[in-house]
Amino acid sequence: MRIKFFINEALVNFKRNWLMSIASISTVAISLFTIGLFIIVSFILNNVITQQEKKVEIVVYLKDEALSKKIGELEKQIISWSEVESVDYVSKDEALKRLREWYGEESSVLENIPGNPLPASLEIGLKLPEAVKEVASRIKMPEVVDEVRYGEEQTVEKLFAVTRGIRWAGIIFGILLCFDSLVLISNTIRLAIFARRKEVSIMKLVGATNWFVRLPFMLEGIIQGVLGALVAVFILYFIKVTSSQYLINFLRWLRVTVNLNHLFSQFYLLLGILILAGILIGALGSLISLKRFLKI
Amino acid sequence: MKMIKTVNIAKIYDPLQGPALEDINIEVEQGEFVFLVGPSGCGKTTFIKLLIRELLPTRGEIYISNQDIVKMRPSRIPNLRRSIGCVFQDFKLLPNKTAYENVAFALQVIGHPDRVVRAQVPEVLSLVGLEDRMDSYPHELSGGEQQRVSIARAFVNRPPLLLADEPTGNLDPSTSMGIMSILEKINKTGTTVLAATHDREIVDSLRKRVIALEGGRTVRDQDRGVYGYED
Repeated sequence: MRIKFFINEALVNFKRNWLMSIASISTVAISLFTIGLFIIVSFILNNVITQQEKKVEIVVYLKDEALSKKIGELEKQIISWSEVESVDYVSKDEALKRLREWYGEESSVLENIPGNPLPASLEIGLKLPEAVKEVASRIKMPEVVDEVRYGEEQTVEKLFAVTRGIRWAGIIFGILLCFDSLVLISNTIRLAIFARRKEVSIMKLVGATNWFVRLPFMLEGIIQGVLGALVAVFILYFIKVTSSQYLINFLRWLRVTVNLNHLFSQFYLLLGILILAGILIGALGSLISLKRFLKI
Repeated sequence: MKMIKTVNIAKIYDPLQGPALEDINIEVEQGEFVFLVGPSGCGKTTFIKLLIRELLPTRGEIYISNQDIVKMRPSRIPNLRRSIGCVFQDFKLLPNKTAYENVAFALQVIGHPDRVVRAQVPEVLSLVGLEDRMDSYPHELSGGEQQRVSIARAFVNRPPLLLADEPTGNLDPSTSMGIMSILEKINKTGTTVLAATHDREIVDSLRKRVIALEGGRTVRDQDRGVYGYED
């Protein structure tokens, strides 16, 4: 019966203070939407730059006449080095297949080429991309190796400077964004409660305990927080549904493969977190803002 | 039993300005009707705020029904206020609640079930003559009607003590007489009533005990008294 009273009280107040309710809901919605969008974008961006970093690898082109036994020996030797993460053998056929994929729809241009001019290769992934030059210089087996290639040292360093920069900028921007949102939301809630400070004092003067005053306010805050979060979630979901195909195409065009399935499985987790954040913001925001008006 | 007893209370808001109240020793017996009179700024409102622990005195002791409310733990304050009905000059009604809901709130605060609320609220509202305005919001009511709602709220849980701070301060003379007769009616049920006012006509016509404050001190305390100032 008590709980029913508080819920009813919260709902009625919510309706009768609809103007302030809308202010709170829209603030929460905009803030959570921005944070949600930021998380999604930084997730994709992080995937992209991680992939760019991983692209720093050494490719060892093999002579067509190299014996597979010798190739195996070279592979074993390289994988034993501590800087090396992986060694993958790419056959001539596979290289051609990749080239076709690369060209996509225009792959017909390849059909005029007789035979397979592409060499087989070893692709070496590194634990420490920075060690690329050192490792490359160690690969020596003239009877097998045709050519050793890796990105220019300067280019590699520039790439790392850029990715590092992007990551830091993302972290700082994210912190600022969260801080902004907190200030914005708490100000709105504080204003909403300030507008009703007289109400709070009246309740106290007729003998309400602090919790009796707080509970309906907190429930009201939770309703607002959840509604705000739902608006944010709805917009994010809408964006996901309408634009994921464009995103996939765009990333393909960039020649980046981002594991979007992984992203989408996390998407619902993100929506859940946003709603939870809405609940917490609503409840705690009201609780904290009420504090000084309860001192009567 | 003494309903109110104050011992040498003083209240100083700002040391530079001197005390708002000083050496106040007042005793009110259960069932009495007392007027607290004096010009504005004499300390009437401060005195009432001290009685409901909206303020703490700078010095002195205050007892309500023999409870020391100065030393009272803060967690007990809601209970104290539930035993005191309070009527204010500015009515202090909840703006987003109807007349009915405002009165009901005082019962809900104590945790009375809906059944009690549904029975009590209309009864008290008809006692103050507002049975037809139960669903109106405060802003839809006249000043006199709002004050009657606030009296209904103060009285609905039958508190032993009812305090009224300038209950007619914002009302015209004929409405004021109506409000006072409701307070008198409430007093007849055994409730102790303390009303602060500077309404000469009312004080002179009701002939109750009068305590006069001036500059924060009691200057007169007489039974069946009159207002006694030229203001």
